[in-house]
Amino acid sequence: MSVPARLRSLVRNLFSRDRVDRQLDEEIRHALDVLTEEKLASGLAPAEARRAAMMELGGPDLLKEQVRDARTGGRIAETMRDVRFGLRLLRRDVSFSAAALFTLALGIGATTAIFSVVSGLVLRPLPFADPARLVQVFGTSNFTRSDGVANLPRYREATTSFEQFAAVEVSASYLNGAEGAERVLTVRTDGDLFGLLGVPPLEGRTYHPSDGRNVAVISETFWRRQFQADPGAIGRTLLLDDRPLVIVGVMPARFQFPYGAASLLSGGGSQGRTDVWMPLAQSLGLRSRIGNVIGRLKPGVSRTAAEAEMVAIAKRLEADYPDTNIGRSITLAPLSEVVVAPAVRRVLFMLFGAVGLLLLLACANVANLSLVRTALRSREVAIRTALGASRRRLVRQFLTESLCLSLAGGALGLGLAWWGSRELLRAAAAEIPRAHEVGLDWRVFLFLFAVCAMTGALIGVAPAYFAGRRDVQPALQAATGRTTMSSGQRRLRNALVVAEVALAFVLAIGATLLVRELMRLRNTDLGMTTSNVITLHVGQRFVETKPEQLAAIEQRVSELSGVRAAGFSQLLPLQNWGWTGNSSTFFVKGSQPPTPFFPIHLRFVTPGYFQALQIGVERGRAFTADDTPDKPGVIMINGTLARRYFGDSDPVGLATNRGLIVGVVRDFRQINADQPSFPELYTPIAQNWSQVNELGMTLIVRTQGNPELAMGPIRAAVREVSPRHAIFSVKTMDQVVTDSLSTFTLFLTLIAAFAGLALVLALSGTYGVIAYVANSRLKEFAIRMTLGADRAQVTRLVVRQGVVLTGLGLAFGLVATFLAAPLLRGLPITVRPPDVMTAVPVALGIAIVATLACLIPALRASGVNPMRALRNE
Amino acid sequence: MPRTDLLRGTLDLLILQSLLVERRHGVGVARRIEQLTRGRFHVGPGSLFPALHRLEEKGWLRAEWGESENNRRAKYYTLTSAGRRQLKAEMQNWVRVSEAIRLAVQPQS
Repeated sequence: MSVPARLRSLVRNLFSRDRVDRQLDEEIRHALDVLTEEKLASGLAPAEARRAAMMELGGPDLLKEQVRDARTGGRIAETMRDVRFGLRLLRRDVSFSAAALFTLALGIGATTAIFSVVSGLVLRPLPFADPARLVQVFGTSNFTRSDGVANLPRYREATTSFEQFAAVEVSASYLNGAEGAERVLTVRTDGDLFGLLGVPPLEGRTYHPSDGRNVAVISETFWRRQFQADPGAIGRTLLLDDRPLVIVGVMPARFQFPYGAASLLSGGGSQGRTDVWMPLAQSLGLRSRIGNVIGRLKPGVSRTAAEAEMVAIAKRLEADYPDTNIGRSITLAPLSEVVVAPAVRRVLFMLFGAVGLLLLLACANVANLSLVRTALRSREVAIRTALGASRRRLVRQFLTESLCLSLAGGALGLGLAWWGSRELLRAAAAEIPRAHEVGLDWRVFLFLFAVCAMTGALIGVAPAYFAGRRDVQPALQAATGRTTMSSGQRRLRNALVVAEVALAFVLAIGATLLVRELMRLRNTDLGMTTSNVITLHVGQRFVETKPEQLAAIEQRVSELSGVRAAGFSQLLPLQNWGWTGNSSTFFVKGSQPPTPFFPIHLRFVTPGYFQALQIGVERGRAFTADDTPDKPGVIMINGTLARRYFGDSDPVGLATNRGLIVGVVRDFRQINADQPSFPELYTPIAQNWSQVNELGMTLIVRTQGNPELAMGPIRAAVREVSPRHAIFSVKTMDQVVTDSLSTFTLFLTLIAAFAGLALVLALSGTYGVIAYVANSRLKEFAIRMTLGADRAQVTRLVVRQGVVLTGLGLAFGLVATFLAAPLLRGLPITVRPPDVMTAVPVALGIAIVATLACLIPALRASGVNPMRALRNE
Repeated sequence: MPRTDLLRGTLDLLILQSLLVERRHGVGVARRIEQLTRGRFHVGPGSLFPALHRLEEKGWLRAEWGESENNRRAKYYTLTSAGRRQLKAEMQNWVRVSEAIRLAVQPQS
C-alpha cells in the first residue's frame, strides 16, 4: 500500500474512530444475523441458533479487537481508548487519584530536583569549548600533592602534548571610586586564558597576551553594578590598586573561572564571583611558582600520555634548576573532576540515593492503593474477561492507566522539581561550584520521562498481573460486587507495607545519625570561645598600610568600653583556608628537620588574637606588644606541632630558623569543627610585615555584651585611624561556626526532610492496608461479637496485624541499615555508624506511630453494630 | 467440521479469488471459500474479518454499504483493479510454489 493511502487510513482510524467503530459494530452484527439465519435454516430453534452463531463468531468483542489490531494504527487507537478510559476512571475516583497523584508528584518531583542538581554539577560538560580536553595541572612536591607548578614557562616550551597552558591567581584588589575604596575579586592571568577556554565575551573582546599588561575583562555582574550595563564602559580605564587597566570586554554572567574563586580568598564571603580578569603584573619568571594551572590537550592526546611527558619534563627541570625544581613533579586531572570535587559528588550521589528510596516508597504506596482499587474493580475485569478480552489486553489496559497516573504525577512533580532545585541552589549557591549552571535541561526532562515510565510500570504491573489471573466465576457470582482480595494480592500488599516500613526506617536512622552528629559538632569543644565575639575584615589599599595603623586600630578598639580584647589575624579559624608551609623548612638552628616531612599551617597574628578568642597558652608566653621588628624574631607553635615535632621535650626557648619559640598554644579547631587540630605556627604580624599581603586583615573583637552593639564604636575607631580603610564581612564568631557547618546542615536538612516524607508514606501505607483488612472482615467481627467477643478483643485482632507488619519492616530495615552503613564513610564529615542506641529509639518511635495508625481502623471495626454489619452483607 | 489449516499467505489469495466474480459480505466470502474448496477450508471469523480489513486498507478491496438479500444494511467487499493485479500476481506465485512443492514431495520416477 502506498504511503499516502496508509496515512489516510491511519488518520481515519484515529480521528474518525467513532465512525470506524460503529461500522465495525454493524458489520459484525450483520455477520451474526447471517450466521443465525443459516443455523435457523438448518433447523435449530431460534435461541439455539443465536447461541451457535455467537459461538462461531467467537465473541464479538474479541473479534472487534482482532480487527482493530489488524488495521493501521490499531494499537494507537486502542491505547488512546485506554487512556481515555483510564482518565475517566481517575476522574470518577477522586480520593484515589488525589492521593496517588500527590504521592507520585512528591516522589518524582523530589527525585527530579536532586537529579537536576546532579546533572548540572556532574553530568553536564563544563561550559567551555571542547571541555574534555581541559585538564588541571597540579604541581607535586615531596611533601604535598598540590603545591603549585614551578617553572611553568619551561613546561610551556617543552611540551608537545598541550596546545597551551594558562595560570590564574585569585586576589582581592581595591578599586578607587567615588565612595572610597571598594574591594573587588580579581583573577590575574598568565597565558591566553580566554583563548584556552574558548568562551566568547558578552560585549567587546577578550584580551590576549599580545595586548600587554594594562587590560582587563570585567564580569557581567560587575558591569551592571559599576557601569549600569553601559556598552560605553568598554575602553574606559579602571584604577585597581593604583594600576590603570583598560576595559576591553565583558564576560557573560554564566562564565566563571576559576570556579569558587571567592573560596580561595579569606573574607571573600561578601561576593562569590569574580569581578575582573587581568594579566599578572609581571610575567611568570623561571623561579616563580603558581598554584592554579590549566592546560588544553592537543586533539587525540590522552591524559595519561600527557602526564608521562610532563613527568619526564619535570625530571629534566630537576637537573637544570635544582634550587627551584628539586623534588617537584606534575600530576594531571580532568578539569571537570577538579571543579566538582569527589567529596561533593559523593554527597550528591548519597542524596540521590536517599531520594530514590523515597520514590520507591511512593511507588509502593501507589501500587498498594491500585491493588485495592483492582479488587473493587474485579467485577468489571471479570465481565471484560467473559466478553473475550485477552489477558494481554487487560494487562495493557492496566499499564496504560498507571502510566496516565505516573505521567500526570510527573507533570505535577516537574513543578515541584523546578521550585525545589531553585530553592536548594539558593540555599547552597555559596557552597556548590557550578550552582548557577543548574537548570531544567533535556537531561532532566529525559530523566523525568524515564522515571515516569518506570514508576508507571512499577505501580501498574501488580494490579495487571492479578487482573489477568483472576478466576472469572467468583467475581461474577458475588452478589454485592465487592469481593475480597486473593491471598496472593494480600501477600503482595503486606510485602509492600513491610518494604515501605523498612525503607522509611533506613532513612530515619540515617537522618537521626546526622542530627546526632550535628549536635556533637555544635557541642564540640572548639578550644576557643566564640560567643560575644565579632569579626570584621579591614581592607586597605595595601600600598598605604603601615604596621603602626594596625597597632593603633587594635589599641583603640580594645580600649572601647564594653570591649575586652581585640586582635588581628590574617585568617579566621574554621574557614578552611590557610597558608601552608612545610616542616622541611622549619628547623632548630644547627639541626636537621625530622623526616618524614609534614605540612604546617602558618598564621600571622597580633598579640590580641589569643585573648580575643580566649585561646589558652600551654607553655611559655603569648606574643606581646614588645615583639617589635627591631627585637629578635619570635614564634609560637600549637600543641599538635609541638608534640609532632618535639615529642615530649619542651620546645619553649629553642631558637629556630623562623625565630625563637616563646610559647605553645593550646590546640583548637582551625579547619572545621569536625577535624582535629593541624600543626600550626604563629608569627607576629609586626615582625613580618613584608609577608602580609594585600588580603587585608580580620579584626577579632571580644565584648562584654551583645557584640553587634559594639560595631558602631568599632567602625568609628577604625575610621579615626584611617578613613580609607574599608570594613566588610562583619560576622559574629558564632556565625562563622554556623557557616562552617552550613554544607552539612543543608545535607542534613534534605535527608531529614526525605526521611520525614518517607515515614508519612510508610504510615499511610500501613494505615491503608489495615483499614482495608478491617473493613473486609467486618462480617467476621460481627459474628465474633455476637458470639461474645468484646470490643477490646476485636481491636487487638486488627492492631496485631499492623504490629506484625511494622515489626517485620523494622527487622528488614535494621539489616538494610547495617548493610548500608559503609556508605556513611563517603561523607566529608565523620558520621559514626548506626548503633543500638540510635536504632532502638527510632524503631520504637515508628512502632508507636504505626500502632496508632492501626488503632483508627481497629476502633472503627470494633465499634460497628454487629446486627447492622451482618444485615448489610 | 473437519478443518484444514490454511497455508500461511493463502488466505489473502482465497479472499481475492472469492470476490473475482461479484461483491460479497464477510460471511459470504467465508461461504464462497468453502464452496470453492469444496468444504475443505473453513475460514473462521477471527481470521476472516481482520484479513478483510487489512486487504481493504491495502487498497485491494473496496468496501461499500448495500442492501442485503433480506433488506438489511450490510458491508460488501469488491475487488479493485489493484486487487485484480494482486490476485494475478499471487496466483502466479501460488502456481510456482505449488509446482515446486509437488516436485519436492512426489516420489522420484
